[in-house]
Amino acid sequence: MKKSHIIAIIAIAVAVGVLISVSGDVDTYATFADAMETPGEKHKVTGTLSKDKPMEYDPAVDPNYFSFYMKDKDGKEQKVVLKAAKPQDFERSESIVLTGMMTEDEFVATDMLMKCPSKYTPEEVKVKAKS
Amino acid sequence: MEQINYIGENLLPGQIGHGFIILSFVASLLAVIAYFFATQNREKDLTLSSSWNKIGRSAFLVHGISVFGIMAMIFYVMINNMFEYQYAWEHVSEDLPMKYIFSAFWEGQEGSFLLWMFWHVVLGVVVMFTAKKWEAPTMATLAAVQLFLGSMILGLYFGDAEIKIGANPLVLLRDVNDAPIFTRENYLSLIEGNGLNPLLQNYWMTIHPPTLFLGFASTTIPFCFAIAALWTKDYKSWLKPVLNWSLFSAMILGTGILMGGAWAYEALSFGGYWAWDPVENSSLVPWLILIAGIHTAMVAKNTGYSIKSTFLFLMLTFIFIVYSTFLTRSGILGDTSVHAFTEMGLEWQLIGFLGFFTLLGIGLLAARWRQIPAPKNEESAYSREFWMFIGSLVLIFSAVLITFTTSIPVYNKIALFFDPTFEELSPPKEVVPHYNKYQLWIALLIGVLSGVAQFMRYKAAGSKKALRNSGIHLGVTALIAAGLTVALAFTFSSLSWQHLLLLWSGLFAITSNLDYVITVLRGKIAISASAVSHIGFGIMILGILYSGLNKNVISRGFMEVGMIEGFDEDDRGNNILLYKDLPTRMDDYLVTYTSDSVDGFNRYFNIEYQKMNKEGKVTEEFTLKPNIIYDKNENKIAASNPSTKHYLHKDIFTHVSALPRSEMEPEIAKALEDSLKYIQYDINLNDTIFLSKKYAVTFEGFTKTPYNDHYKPEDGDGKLGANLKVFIANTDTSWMLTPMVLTRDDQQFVLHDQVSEIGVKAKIADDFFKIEENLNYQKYKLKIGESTKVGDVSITFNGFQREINNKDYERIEGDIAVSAVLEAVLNEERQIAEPVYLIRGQEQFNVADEIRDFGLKFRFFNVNPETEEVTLFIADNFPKKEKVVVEIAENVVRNDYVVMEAIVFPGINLFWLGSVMMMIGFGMGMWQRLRKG
Repeated sequence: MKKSHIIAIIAIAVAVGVLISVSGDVDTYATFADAMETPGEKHKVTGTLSKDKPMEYDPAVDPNYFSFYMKDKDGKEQKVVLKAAKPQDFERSESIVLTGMMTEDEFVATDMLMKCPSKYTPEEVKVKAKS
Repeated sequence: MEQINYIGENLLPGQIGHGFIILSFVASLLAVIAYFFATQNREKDLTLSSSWNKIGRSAFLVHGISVFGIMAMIFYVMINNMFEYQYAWEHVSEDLPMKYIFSAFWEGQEGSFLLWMFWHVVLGVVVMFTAKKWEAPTMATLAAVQLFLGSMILGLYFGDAEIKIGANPLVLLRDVNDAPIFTRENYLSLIEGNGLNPLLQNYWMTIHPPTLFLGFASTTIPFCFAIAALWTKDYKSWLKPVLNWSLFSAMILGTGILMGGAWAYEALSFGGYWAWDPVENSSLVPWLILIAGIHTAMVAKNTGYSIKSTFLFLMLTFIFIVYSTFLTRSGILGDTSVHAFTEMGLEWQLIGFLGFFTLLGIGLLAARWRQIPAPKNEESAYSREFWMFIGSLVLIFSAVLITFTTSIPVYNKIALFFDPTFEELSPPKEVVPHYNKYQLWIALLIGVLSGVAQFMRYKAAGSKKALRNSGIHLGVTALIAAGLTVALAFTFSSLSWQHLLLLWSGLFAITSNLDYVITVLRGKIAISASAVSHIGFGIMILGILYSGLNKNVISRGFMEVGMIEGFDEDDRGNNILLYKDLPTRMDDYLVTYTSDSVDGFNRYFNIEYQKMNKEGKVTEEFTLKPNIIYDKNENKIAASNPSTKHYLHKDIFTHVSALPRSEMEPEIAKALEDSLKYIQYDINLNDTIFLSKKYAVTFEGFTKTPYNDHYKPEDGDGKLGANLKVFIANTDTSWMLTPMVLTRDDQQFVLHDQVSEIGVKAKIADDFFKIEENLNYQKYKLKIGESTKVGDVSITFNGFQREINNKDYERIEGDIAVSAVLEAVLNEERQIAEPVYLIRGQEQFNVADEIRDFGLKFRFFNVNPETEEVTLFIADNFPKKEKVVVEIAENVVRNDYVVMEAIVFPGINLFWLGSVMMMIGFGMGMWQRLRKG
């Protein structure tokens, strides 16, 4: 057998093996219901901010405690606690991806990604304050 | 619909610009055709070919001029704030400083497409005049790329705008937005520009995109050469020019990517230089493939092996640039990345762009596959080409792995297209560890191979002795690296065995390449380009290990472990609250928030760091100034920028992550103020009153130079402050409160003052101003020498005085002022009052004087110049003791703090040094090749 063939076989074998291992890290998005079934296990949950529910962030009490309510893709609302400062412009987020786990009555997030697409391309035309 | 004659619109730049858009598109099409025939005819009919070539050149130059023309028109409407144009309206505003005009230009998708096209034009002209026989086929391909890019800004609509091709950057706002305001003919005088995202208002946004897009554009040239070589079946002579272009591209694209990392680290509060974000990954992948291509191209040029791989890799580089464009511009990354563009409805066009060039490149390569020459014999395992090829494969493998995970949103889109019920896949839960755990092995292998390959010769030339000699060198440098690894291992806070191996590999890359420069190249720096890059790689690995593993968030509070079940030390928050002037210990530092200052929309916070030795003496002191940027429209925080102290061996990174709620949200500030319970106190001079809590307040008198945090002096201010001492009874603990009244531009402002620590807030009460109102002035007319009685006091008008002697009067140039000297006598006690009458400008004023002991206040109202009779107003109920009326609230919520995060990054300069050395290596390689000719 030629050396290049051996290398090719090894390379393909390694590639397949590693890719299978990589796929192990890939998951599907969970819902709050899924997270509740396995408390203490990390999940990624997508949803939207419940704008009518209270948001709580008072740095004087705890600079690393921000809580809000999120509606997941099944429409279930859940209190979420983020152990970090409240991100700028959070109110305007259109969708949220949380990484974290369920505790007794809260979803505790360690990481959060939010999407604000219309943030700087507003649909409304702003009228001058002084005309 | 009724035609409206809009007022003030300037439609000419848009029409000129649109003309250029069409012209540039048509000209690039003509260039494709002309260069195509120039290529096809070059063996059959040389004159025909050269005529086509001339047409191609002209067409491409016209195309280039048109691209400049489009850009000029866009800049014109942006610089002149012509908000009738959507692009100007969206990206600039009247208050945007001119230095950000470039940033605003490429903030949008259309502008950045144009920036890309601009670089293609520049590089195309260089190719046109240097490529010689390669000109026609490479330019045909480049013009085709421009054709696709040009289509992105065409802005053609078919069938009720259902199908659109491209987005015209010079479209009118009223054509794309149907807000009711556009029914008004004077709408233009009513609207204002949207402006540049404050996050992007920094110099990184000025330099990063042009560099990155030059990097993108430069990958197109090797692609064009690859297509040209396959097309003309000339599989060898393209290697020389393409290698130069590839080295150039690797240097520029690499620099562009690094700038992105530096931006994230220096100016954004990401807290690092690389986060494996899909947008970052998607430009790293083509660079990795390009590096693989450079290595195989060197092999191909020197030995004839790996020509096929070179074709494949250099074409994939460009294809992955287009793929990255698709990822970042189609909106597909929305859920997984923090900095993708917003979508624009160009997805299908981008897919077409990607599909066309993928099929063209791969199809052509497949068609020619068997013709491409390759040496009969296999390369020797002791040859340089063998190990370089293995290294290239490792790089490709790295690119495959990164792409596999980054593309998860693409799998979702495809699956959903066929099966709408498909359950979407999510990226790994721990993104950074996911990438790190695989890329660690890639980096380790690259480190080893970069040393090993250097000591091999092409075609395994050289004797057995030479080979043994290389083996000895490699063995010795590997041992030295191992020794260094053991020594350095103690400088890490934690080191797994994988990290230990990587550390060794990085050190080996450094030691072996140094050895190579010294012993093989005899220290000739000019020819050691590859060694410079490889040593840079090794140093970069050290930097990554130090800054990643020894990174220390020093702002972590003392936590409450076990507060939330399932969470441990690592989940402790990274932010700490710092009260003003209250030093807080963080790691080796005593950190104090001392003050803040406002400059435009920026607010800077002074954070003082002090390092002390064991005796408590300050050994080092510095101040960091992180800032926040307020949103101009809403008075909210738009962005937070860090401030970093740089040392040779480490960085201390600080950024403000939150402020008191009352500082962040105006509504909350108002609600807080409204909720305070103010109680009014009349306090005579030097008297003390007691508040409801344990505090007492003494009025220590008025001051004309008040010290108040809320007061920023301006010329012409009138100001009066009341000095109030707040103290705890029977102690020495006291604070000063100086509420004040400010008169500016004929308006009066009451400025409160606050002692945050004890929650006491005071302001001058409205009733204070009523003291004057309540005086019972009576009118008196006196000539010189005459007397009158006010109550029991007899008052004599002694005459006029031009030298004014009144503490409340401040002379201004041009004043005509005179005071009346009044002698008051009560029970043998004699006192003088000198009220002032003055003319300032055209108006008459008077300045009062008082005799507090007699309870009298005098005003000199006017004087009859003929009779010298003065009109005076005298009140006899002036308070005999100086007093102030203040309102004081207690239990005020503290708002004198910042919430911040502080991170120490050790060895981060090794990362920058190493990566910059890699780029310098590419540049050296290119330079050396160009000089050799």
